Amino acid sequence: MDYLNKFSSSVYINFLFLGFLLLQSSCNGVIEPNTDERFFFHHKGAELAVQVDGDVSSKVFILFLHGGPGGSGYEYNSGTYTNLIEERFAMVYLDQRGQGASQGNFGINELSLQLFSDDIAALAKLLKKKYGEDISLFLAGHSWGGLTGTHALLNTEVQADLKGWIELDGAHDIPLLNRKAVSMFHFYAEQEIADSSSYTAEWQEILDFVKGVDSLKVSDDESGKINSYGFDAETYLIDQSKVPNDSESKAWAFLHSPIAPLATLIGNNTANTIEGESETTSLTDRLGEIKIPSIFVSGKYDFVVPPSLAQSAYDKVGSSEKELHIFPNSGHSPMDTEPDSLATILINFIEAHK
Amino acid sequence: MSTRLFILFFLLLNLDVNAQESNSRSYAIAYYAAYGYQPGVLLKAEQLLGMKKAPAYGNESSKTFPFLAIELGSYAHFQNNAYLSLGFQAGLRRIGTKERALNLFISLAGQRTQHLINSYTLDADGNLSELGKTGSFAFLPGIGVGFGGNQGVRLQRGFRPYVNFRTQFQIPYGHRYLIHPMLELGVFFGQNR
Repeated sequence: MDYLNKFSSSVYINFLFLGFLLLQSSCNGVIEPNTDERFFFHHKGAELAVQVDGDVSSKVFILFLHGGPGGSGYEYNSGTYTNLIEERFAMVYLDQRGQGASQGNFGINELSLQLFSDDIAALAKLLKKKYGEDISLFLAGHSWGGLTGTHALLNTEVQADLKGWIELDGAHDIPLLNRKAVSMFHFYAEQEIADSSSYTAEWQEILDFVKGVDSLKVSDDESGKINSYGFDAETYLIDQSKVPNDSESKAWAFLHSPIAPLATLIGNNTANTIEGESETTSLTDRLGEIKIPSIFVSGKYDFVVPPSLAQSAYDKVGSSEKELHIFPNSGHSPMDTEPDSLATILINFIEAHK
Repeated sequence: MSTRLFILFFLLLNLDVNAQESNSRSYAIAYYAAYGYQPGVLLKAEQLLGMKKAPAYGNESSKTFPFLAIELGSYAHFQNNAYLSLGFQAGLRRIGTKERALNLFISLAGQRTQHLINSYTLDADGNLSELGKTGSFAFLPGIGVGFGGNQGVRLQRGFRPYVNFRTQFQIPYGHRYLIHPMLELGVFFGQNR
């Protein structure tokens, strides 16, 4: 018994010391002020994971909202476009509530677009407190991040803290998105079948599907299929040899990600919970309330969020300074397919309005 | 470390010590990692229940024993959290022939989760407040299967390697729970003869 007690006590103390060393070594290697900082933002029960990369001394920050729902900021923090932007400005990658590395303890029934919007507005405030009231802050959102970003602009006071709004293939109106996607599927499927393209059978399957869809009354199941076919369709139209093969970087990202791989299950749960509100939210008619400089970007072959949504947003936004860019060789992710061009137009937009 | 963890630790220690007439107590140290690449260390003291002497199980005959272990584990997910847990493991070990052993077990631990990065918030007046490296308490039930760590003929030897594959559930996490697939690769050593 004595032997066991002595052994246990000794091991326990040594173990704690080992854990302490482990913790210290982890902390020391992570944060490099002004170039690469990572922190949690505690807000309304959530611990939101925030990564700040780039030139903080520029005093220009782009708060980036990922897509999904169920995605993460980490997915966007790589590649040419981020490197080019981070050489000049600071990118702030937020893992939105219930996704990525964000944690905390809150009820799933609390999830709503308003809560996501409140997180965004509060983080904008925090960034100004942390990095200075004189920073120039831009909000950017891709895909579903375009919905939460637009919702925040319209339902919080965040516009007062921003110099501009960047919407990349943004899904600010999913009912409209579904109608436009069905039209786009019809157009391209019929054209590709008539031209006997390499993917005739696949296009025929898509055409058969959309022929059965009432675009004014799209079910959740049909909406999911529109999304899935959308990703397929762009691969049939874009020369895949020009799309960067990032399999190596994905392996690296898996091993170095601050996100636990199975946290995707939580992200999926978040997605399922917020899906109902997301699918029925239409913000197009309120875009006139957005008064800050805005830029809308889309890929010509984006079936997931058709470029006509960007056109519609450009037409209806209340900003006097606005831009629209449709990338000719891109689908849903111009950051992957035309990264240099995307970085150039974003840098020019930010320089003009910072 | 919370008071609750200490109470749990001493309760388990007492349970283990009460079985001291048995000569099948062992200790283990293991590389303990989520997904295999989030590194850490696990220490445990284990008691095979019902084994009074050291028979030559694992040579010609086989038998199944219940076992109980107390364990202290820690691992780190860089840029995210460090975890320190204290709890117990209980299960069955089938000691078969040819020195093979199969373990099926459940575990339960209290876990201290410690962020490795700073936290901030806005106070009621909208001012920035730095919270430091915050942490929280969670429960960590788990279930697993393992191989090796034979307590039969290998009782005569110094080190007995084993591997356990375990799934743990960190509760609560966000609005749900987080699953940790754990790899435990270690050696048993020592016994109380």
